[in-house]
Amino acid sequence: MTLEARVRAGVGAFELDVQLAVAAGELVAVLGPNGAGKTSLLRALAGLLPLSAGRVTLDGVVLEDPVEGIRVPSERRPIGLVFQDYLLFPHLSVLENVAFGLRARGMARAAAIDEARRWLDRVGLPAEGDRRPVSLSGGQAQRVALARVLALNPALLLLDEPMAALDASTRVEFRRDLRRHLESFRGVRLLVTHDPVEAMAMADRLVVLESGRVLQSGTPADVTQHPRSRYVADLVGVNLFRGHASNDVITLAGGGSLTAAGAADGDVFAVVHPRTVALYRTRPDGTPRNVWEGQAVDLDLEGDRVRVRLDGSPSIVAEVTPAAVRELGLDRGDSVWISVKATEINVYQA
Amino acid sequence: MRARVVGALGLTVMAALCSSCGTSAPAGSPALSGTITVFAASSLNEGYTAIGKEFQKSHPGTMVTFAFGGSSMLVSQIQQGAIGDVYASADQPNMQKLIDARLTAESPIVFARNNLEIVVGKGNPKHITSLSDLGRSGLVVVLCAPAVPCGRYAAQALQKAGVSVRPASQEADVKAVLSKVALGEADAGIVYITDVKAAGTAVDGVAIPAAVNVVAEYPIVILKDSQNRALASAFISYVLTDGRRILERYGFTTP
Amino acid sequence: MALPLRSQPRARPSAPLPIVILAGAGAAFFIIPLIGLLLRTPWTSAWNELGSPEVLTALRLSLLASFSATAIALVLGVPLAWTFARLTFPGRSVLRALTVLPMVLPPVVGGVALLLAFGRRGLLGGWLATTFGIHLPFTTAGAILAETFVAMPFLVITVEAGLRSMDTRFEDAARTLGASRWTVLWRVTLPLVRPSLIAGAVLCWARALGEFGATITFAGNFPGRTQTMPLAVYLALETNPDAAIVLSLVLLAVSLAVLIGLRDRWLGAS
Repeated sequence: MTLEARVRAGVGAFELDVQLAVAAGELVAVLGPNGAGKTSLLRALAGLLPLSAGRVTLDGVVLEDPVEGIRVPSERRPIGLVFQDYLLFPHLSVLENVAFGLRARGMARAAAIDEARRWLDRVGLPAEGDRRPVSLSGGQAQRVALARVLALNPALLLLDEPMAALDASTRVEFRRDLRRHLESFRGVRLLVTHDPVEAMAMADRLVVLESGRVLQSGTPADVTQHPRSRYVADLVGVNLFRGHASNDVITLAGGGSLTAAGAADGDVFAVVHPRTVALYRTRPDGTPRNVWEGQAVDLDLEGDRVRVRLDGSPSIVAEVTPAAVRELGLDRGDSVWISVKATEINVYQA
Repeated sequence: MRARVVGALGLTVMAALCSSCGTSAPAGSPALSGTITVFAASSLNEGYTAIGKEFQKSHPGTMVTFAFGGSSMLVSQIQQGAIGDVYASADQPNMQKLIDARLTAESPIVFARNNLEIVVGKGNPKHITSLSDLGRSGLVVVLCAPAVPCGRYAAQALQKAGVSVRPASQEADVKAVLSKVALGEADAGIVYITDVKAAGTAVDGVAIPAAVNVVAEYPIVILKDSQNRALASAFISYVLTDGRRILERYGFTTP
Repeated sequence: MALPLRSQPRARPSAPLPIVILAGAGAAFFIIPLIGLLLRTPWTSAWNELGSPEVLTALRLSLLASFSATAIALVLGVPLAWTFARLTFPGRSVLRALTVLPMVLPPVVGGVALLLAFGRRGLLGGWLATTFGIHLPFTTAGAILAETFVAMPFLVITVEAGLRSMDTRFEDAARTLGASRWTVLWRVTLPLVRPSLIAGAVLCWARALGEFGATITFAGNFPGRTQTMPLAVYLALETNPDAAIVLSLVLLAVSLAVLIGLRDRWLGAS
């Protein structure tokens, strides 16, 4: 069972242009900033947003193809979509919510309620059937929304930011629960999120989406170790540079240059972890190949580290201890010397 | 105040004896000015509007405004406090209500008479020739509501003719009956001959013989709360003198 | 020993004096006529008046006509409201303005328009009469039509507002769960806008109950057939003021009951 999708769709001025394939058994997370088009992608796959071009095939069946004039309406697609704020019907009880899809597809009321009860048991809410959604906690609502969708045994399960409506303290626990429920699901699973931790914790494969386009795709390790965009770099918390390498020297697109060990020639990305950036008051002597002067623009205390944003050629973010900041007497606007060892720079083909 | 009333009555008598006298303020009385409001029965609409124009021409600097409506509705309004100077009714009972309520300044005078006529659509498509035809089944007949003078009169006429009619509607004033027939919504109605005349070519009329017809008497009076008795009085005088010519033109008979 | 802390009452906002005065005048504007009516009511004979055939007839006719008008308004008005709230098509704003027109049109003008459309010589009226034998002027059906004409816009507007303010993603969710468009409408959309449906229906009913100008112009006035309560009051005022006052009181009591019952819904909780 596979999902093959080439989606081109427009929402106002925004254009979505995504190609992806997901096989049953792998959980793919679509990661991207707000406005990247993640929800639009899910809506397009669900049939709520018409394609302007492309094709969506699920398990060999064409769900949509504008050129061939095929468009299977949402209600006939074997899909389940768990919305960001769950959208449990407020005028129905929890049981009726879970039974909704079954009844809509023709099941008799009594049978549907029975089946709904079984699913509520499976998600761990056996006693909540007669309650109204408004009285449920975030975690309970999430489980009901999941049960409502799983009860229909869809071939494609789409989850829109499933943790977004939960508060941070309950998130970890529910992530585990969700993972457990998803693991037993036999169809294709696609999850959308803006939380990298969630993506990393749940996905077998990441697809990074920005401004409607796929920037990179791969395993979580792959993506985070070789970020190909500012967005991912920021997510992971590293410095990302792009430039042209020649004989170990990378001329950076943004100005300046870096010397890196073992860089193949050509267009490259270079990653420098802030931890490996050293700061000095005076020009340092020593082995580091990369030494330049810069100006401290911002200092942010994050836990037991201080992230220092430095303007220079190139600009870079350094991570030092608060003690170090005190020792240097570092303040906003101060000039400092920056150094990075060539061996600490991770370079790969662009 | 009493002198003025007597004066007005005296003038009336003089005017009645001198139908070709011109109208002007009686010698010795002050020049007339100001505005008066005249409440008048709907059937007086065209006639009184014409009288009002002539009156204003003869008495420059004065203004007469009219409020036309069903006589009973006007009485109701005056009783509830509507401000006006003159009341002209289409029947005596409504005038009596005002007298009983002590809202009149003097005794009313009958200034005109009217008769009923059957009004039918142009060309009389339903071939109505008499009151008895109104009792035909399938005919859409409208009458005035019983409380309105023309409704009362119509009931009297129908009773005299021994006809029983099931009206489709009982309208609030005679003009509404007329318009329903003129619009083609009703086949026939009972209105005044003056209304049929005023409607011109929009409708046709079927005469009601005098034996079963009803004479409608129109009294007029100054209202007790009038703020301009002089002008009100002059207007009434005008109605009783030069006004007679105008009213006759519209189909009224004058005493 | 520490004294227990008394919790401070939450400070209520105090009203500036000009507002209080103006609001008081506004309230008086509504209350005084009502008090006048209550004071003039012939309480001793009121019960008899209420039982008199003309009052009962008018009341029965009014209830029949107003409820029928509301039923028609629901059947025709809800789909219309849905069309305005959910679809876009050329000429939509013009169509919407036309359906709202009876709200701003003087009722008598509405009555004249109905005559020109459904009267004997009207656009449709003639055809209805010759083809189906249906006559509308001077009939109870005509009175119902007149009331529907002036009251339906209230229902359309209210339901449309409810549909617009509803989160349409619930409809999306229902569709992804396999519900057909019809099922979505019946089991999700309409239940979610139930407060607007109720408020719209009640407003429509209240307006229909009080309609006068269009009714008397189009349906005429005949006791038991087209003389609804407002017409009865109007005519009774000339002949039997006591009956008029009692009728007015009944209308007033009914309207007040409706408005008080609706107050929360009307004031915004949707």
